[in-house]
Amino acid sequence: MSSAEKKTIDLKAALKDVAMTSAPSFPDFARVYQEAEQRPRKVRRFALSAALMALAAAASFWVGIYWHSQSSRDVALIESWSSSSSSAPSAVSIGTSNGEQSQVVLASSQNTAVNLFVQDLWESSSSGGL
Amino acid sequence: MSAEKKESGPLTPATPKDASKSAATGDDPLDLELAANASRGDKGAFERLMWRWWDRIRGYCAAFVAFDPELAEEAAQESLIRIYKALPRWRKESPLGGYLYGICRTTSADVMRTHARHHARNVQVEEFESLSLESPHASGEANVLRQEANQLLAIAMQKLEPVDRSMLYLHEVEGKGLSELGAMYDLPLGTVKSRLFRARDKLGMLLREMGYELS
Repeated sequence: MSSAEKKTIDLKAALKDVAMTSAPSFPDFARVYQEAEQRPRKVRRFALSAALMALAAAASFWVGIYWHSQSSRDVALIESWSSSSSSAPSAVSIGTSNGEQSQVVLASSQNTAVNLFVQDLWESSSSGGL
Repeated sequence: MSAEKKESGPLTPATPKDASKSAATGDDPLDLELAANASRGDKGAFERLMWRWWDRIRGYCAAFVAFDPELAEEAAQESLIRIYKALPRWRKESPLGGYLYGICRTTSADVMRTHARHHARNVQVEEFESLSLESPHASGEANVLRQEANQLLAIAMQKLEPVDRSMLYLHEVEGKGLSELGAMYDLPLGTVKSRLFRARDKLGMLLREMGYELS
């Protein structure tokens, strides 16, 4: 299109015209009041569910803490080997002797007195080591 | 639409303090009275205030959402709800106009985000020739040409950023000055000036491609 054929647009008038054509003509006040009354209820419901979720998260956290502290007691027995005064055997096997189910036999793979080690371990455990 | 048809009950009379405040903020003293009463839960005052502001609110929302009628309706209606809820928190020393336009801007942006799919529906500038326009002889040539111009302007405006669109609208239609816009959008004066210039320049370029010039 040549410049001679160009048409002009009055920006202010055209913008207002377009805006008024595309915008709603009347405000709906009934809906305003209805929505304004309903929203706090929705907010309260949301807050309640958020509080419940937070409570559940806190509860699971404390259960986790308790669980961890419980299992650490088992770990303490093994950790106490390092605090034992006698040197720990590098490997200990537990078994039964000649099919006797009422007896437990402890064997060490190194030349370490297992009975002394266990005795020491037992004493440190019973004196509050665990 | 006449905005002052819906009168409500008696209003608290304006005090000299209100008059000095309105002079400082550039707000109409009656608007300030209505807003003060509305913030105390007076529904009549709220409705009267909104009737006075309705054309500005709906025009601004429509400009922000790129003149999409569905979005414009939702944005304008949602803005009313938020204004109703937010008026009790309005700090009387801040400009009422800036406060109301701020709520409309946030609301329109939220509505646009919610309906992001509408962005995909933007008509390409290249497609403007395919728009269904009535014959110039059908209902008055001048009217149809004006409709065509408006339609093309709406398409070109879609190419601008929402903030630029709304800023241009406030500047051109509502006559807001650069400093007012700066305060409203929390932008430095120079930024407002350059954004308005760029928006108008881009709009002019797009319209020139369609065979129109901005006057």
